[in-house]
Amino acid sequence: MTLFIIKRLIALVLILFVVVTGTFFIVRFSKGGPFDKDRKLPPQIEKLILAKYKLDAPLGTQYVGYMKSLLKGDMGVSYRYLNRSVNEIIGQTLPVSMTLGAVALVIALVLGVSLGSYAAVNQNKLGDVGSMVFALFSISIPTYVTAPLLILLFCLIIPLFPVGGWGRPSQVILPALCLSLPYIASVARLMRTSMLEVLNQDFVRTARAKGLPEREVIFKHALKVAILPVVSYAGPLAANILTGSLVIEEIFKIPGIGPFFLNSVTNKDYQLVGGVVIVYCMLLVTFNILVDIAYTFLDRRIKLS
Amino acid sequence: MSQRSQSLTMIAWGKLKRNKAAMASFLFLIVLALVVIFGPMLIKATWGYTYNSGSDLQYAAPNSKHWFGTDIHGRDLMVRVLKGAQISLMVGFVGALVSLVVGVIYGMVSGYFGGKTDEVMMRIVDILYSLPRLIFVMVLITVLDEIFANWLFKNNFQSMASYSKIILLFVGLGLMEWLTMARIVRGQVLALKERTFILASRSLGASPLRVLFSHLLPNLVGVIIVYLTLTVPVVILEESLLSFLGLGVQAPHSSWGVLISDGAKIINPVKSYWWLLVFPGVAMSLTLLALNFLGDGLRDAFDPRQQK
Repeated sequence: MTLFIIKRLIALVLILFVVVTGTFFIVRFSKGGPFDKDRKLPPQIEKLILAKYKLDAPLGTQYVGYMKSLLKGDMGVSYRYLNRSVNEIIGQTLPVSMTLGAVALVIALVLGVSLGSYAAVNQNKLGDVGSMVFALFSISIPTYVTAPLLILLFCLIIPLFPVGGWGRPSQVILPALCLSLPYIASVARLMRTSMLEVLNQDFVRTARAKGLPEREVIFKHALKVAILPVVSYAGPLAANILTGSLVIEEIFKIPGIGPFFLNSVTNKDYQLVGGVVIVYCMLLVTFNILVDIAYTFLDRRIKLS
Repeated sequence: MSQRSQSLTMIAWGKLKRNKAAMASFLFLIVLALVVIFGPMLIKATWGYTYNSGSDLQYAAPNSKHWFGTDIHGRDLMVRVLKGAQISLMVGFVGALVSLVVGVIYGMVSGYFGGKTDEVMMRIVDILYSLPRLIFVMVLITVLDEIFANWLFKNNFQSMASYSKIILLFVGLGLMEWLTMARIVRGQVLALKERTFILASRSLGASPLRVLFSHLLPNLVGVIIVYLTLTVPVVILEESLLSFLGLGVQAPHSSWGVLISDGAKIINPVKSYWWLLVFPGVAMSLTLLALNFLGDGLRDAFDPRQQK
């Protein structure tokens, strides 16, 4: 177990190194710098600005310098948001995005697993067909269509929730629900297939034969095995929710990391792009290690080595 | 009475024909393709609108002359939805084809050579699966767009320069979605390569390349068709997501994502121009639904475990 974690941590460092290097060179590769404006700056001033942000050194030196400061945990200064460091921007916006993402992830997993199990237990009955049609619809209708429609319905026509903003619990519910909708569906479909397979296995038959009530057979015995594919899907799921939250933050005007990231991409704010990519990758890889560990607790046949 | 043994593809087709939802979707997609190709011409011939011709009729609700209404510049929404469909569908299909080529080659190599190679290659796929690939694609497309557009402009492809982003979308989104294909193909190859016909071919001295492309590939056609159908809607969704965020298709071109984004911006309590969101949204959702139904149907049809 310890060996496994150490191995994965080494892999984490390697992945981050590749990702950071890749991002650094791809972004620098682009034409024009972050300070290109329509109005040409006097050369002296331009030189001073470039020197201030250490953009005047050769590319190799810039890269080494960037990597060195990263090791110290310093992701540099934003080129666009004056006098704000990347650490500061991420520190302020990431908790918002994380809250939204975590709520959405929990909703997707809980509702998805329940819906999928329900469909499997009632195979080919109305409930099953209904759930799966719902699932197919929510996978096919993108969040940026459902979200404005839900705003129209629940905020403007029936004023249940505020239109946007952040801070109160009631402002989390609708965006988190919109964000998780397609993933509820994917989890439900995965869960249904897996549950159907498990319900035909011998240990479930044994449990039934011993006379356990159906509820206990499903919740105590079948669920624990059937949930395994969902657990391994949790990694990609988290990655998708993170990207999906960019859209939701735009629509609901949530002050998360999304709007900053989108601006930084179009504005060539290299440091901020790099910082966000690093933080995203770090979060996801760590989450995946946790998922792998959780897996062993659910499936005792697997030993991490 | 003796019967000729049916090929796997024939059996699959027979099963697909019995699946009503999949067949309805298939028909819908054919009709959609025809409407999307010929619709704009017909509208131009009947009413004289093109997708960029403005008029004084700002925000007209759907009526007999503008079936889908008009937008802020008085442009007919129906032409714009159909023109947007051309771009969205093209990005979807070409992107899926790119992912197919990459995924099939990667999966075949990984599965065929096995051992350490396979382990490393699949580990890479696992890692990529759990990283925010769309974020990378966003950065990549935005950065490369300027360079590529400039290059096109300088090398006498002026007329193509406005397409640079769309071409980059093909490649970028294709490179994002090959992972599933690679995994599935690898699994199939692992099972197939133990079969005697492969052994026979190898013992006759066939090179790995020949075994892969003339013996293994034909046996993979089923899974490839299934996952191609299931990748198209994913790519269409991603293209529209990027366009919605303003990082994808840009004027003068438009796509479903662009139209939905325009429509979503003007949802407000005072006056809602619902048609601007609903028509492109419904067009796109129906298409994705049909592709998903067809893909699911194909998967069931090609699945030997579901043999009756």
